[in-house]
Amino acid sequence: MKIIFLFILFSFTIKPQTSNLLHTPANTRKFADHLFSGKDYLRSVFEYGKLPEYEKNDTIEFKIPLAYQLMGKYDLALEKFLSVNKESVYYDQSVKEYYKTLLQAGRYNELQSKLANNDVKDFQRLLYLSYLFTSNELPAEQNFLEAFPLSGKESLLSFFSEKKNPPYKSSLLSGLFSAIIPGSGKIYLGEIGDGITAFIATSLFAFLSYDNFRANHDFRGWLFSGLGFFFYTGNIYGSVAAAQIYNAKVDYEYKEKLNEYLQNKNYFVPGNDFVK
Amino acid sequence: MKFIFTIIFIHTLLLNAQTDWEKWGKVEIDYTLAGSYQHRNYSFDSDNTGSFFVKSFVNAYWFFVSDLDGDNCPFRPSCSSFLADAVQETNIFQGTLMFFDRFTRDINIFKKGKYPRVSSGYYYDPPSLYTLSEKIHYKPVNEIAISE
Amino acid sequence: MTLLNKYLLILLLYAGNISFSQDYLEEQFDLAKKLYDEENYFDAITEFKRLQFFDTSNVYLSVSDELIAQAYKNGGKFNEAIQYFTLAEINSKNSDDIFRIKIEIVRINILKRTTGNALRLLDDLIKDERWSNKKDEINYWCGWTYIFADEWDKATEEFSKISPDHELTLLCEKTNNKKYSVAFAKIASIILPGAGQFYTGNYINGLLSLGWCALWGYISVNALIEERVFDGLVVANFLWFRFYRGNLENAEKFAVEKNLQISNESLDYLQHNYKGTRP
Repeated sequence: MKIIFLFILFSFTIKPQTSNLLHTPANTRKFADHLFSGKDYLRSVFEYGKLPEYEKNDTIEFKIPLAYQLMGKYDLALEKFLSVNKESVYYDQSVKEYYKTLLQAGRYNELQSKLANNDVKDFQRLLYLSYLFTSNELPAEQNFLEAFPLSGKESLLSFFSEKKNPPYKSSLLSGLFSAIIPGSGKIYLGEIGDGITAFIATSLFAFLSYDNFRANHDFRGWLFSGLGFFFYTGNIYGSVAAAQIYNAKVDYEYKEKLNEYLQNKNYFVPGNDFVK
Repeated sequence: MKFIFTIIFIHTLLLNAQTDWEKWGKVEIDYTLAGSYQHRNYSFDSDNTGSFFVKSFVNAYWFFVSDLDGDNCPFRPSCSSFLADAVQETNIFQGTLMFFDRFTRDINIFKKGKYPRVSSGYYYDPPSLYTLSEKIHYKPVNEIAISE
Repeated sequence: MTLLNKYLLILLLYAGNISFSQDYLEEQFDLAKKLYDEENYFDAITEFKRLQFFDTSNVYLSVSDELIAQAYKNGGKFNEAIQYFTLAEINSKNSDDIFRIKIEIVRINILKRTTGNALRLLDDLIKDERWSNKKDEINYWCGWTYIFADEWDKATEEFSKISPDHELTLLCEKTNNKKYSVAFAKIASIILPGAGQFYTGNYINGLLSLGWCALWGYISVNALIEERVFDGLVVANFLWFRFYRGNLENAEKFAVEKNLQISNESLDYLQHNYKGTRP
């Protein structure tokens, strides 16, 4: 009885360092995993970072850059993917994610220079996808499509065709049309309202100028001629600028559509167990 | 009912975890109200002679005419500001052509759905789109381009 | 060891274990609270979330939700704050806590300037019999809601329900009295172009408005008198009416801007100098 009593007393007096119980490496890791699965990636990265080296395993080494990638912090993700150990079970996946991150970060030239002579299919896909974003020469259509699975070929073919022959409008033609018939350059670009308005404005001032000269009102005649001249030349200038904006819009919409498609397909990189 | 609410809110919390992807600190909440009216910039920012001449003309126009005849321009920047900015960014001749093109587009009554907007609802149409430079920062139609 | 002693030993060890569990959760709570008190809100939320993760019995759930919500509020993240306050309310145990949390949600709606939500929540509180003894506090927050909605007259009414001499009653009344009447400015400008601008102290603008309206009015009427109907109508429509309408817009604009300045002076005082409870 005495021994029992002393034992119990001893247990109560030795108060363990209770605040560290939740901060032990094992508990920190459990908490970090919970944060990661709840998409609280920054906190999960901070928690993983607190783990001692001996506690860090392949999974954690892979999840940290993955968390950065999911948050859009591409520079940090790239740095961490590069530092994944070659012996890690996730090394191959890290390499793929590294190149995928280069694509997401818009570092196409870097991606192209690094994968230039790579024959591995997964990497070839990323390389070919990067060509859809740059103005560098596209690979042959057959080679391009061969790299991708059947399910993606149709969509990718349309992106490839659009990249090869974008539906641009010519600035020169637009300006020339507007020089011949005011407003026609804008109509060529699909801006019917602007084109008609430009035509009406130029015609109106031309008529007013003619009418006033005919009535010997020279000052008014010259005033309206001047205004008509500026509307006319302004319209030619505006048609050229509008063609540039039209082409920028084509590029923007193409990139948006392509990015959305590739995000849905995870850039044709095999998925991982950590992100659903 | 409590259980259903808890599930819905936990789900919404997961969706909102994105706000904690940057470390943040305490902020001072500002009680004051923001004004919504446009304020003119009468200063001469450029030492370009053409720009000085045009800005003087625009300032006089603002003071004697534009500040008195109401808010008529559906664009931001307004057409007069567009002229001043265009001449400042390019030169007096190119800026004038940009202005007349802008004026023509302003006269067009069918311009709805062609421009992005600022937060106050005006159409966003900066001169930087029309300088014929290589890089154009295109903004899609009806997107809120900037807060104003 | 007898059977009784064995059972006693097991019971005592179990009790000891529980007390250790409560100790480390309590220490974790203290750590999180310390970070919160130091205004290190991001890290405080991390520690509260850690507490919640390991607190399988949910002992600290409601209080930690509330503190997470407060941390988000202090970081200006109002939507997250409301979500956590709502969770805290769901998990709270007594009506005093529920009331306090509901008021916190009202305060965030006030800061967000979602007046409709704040008033609706306060209306629900007023109608709830459980808090019939907290009418003063509810009226207090109604007043603040109206302050942030820039309705100083209604704010005065709400604060006067607490006391006619309340500091905020007097402040809101003073602010409301200083304000210009937008309707009066517009009506004055309808009757005499430029009068509204004179009322708000913008004399040059008023004079110029009057001048332009007089000029185009004269030209237009003169043209009509001389039977140059087309000229008269064009001048009237494109010039006279344009400047007249601009005059009305300016009368309203200057009155609104002056009122905004007056409101902001009071709001600035409330933010930096008012010693009472603020949202």
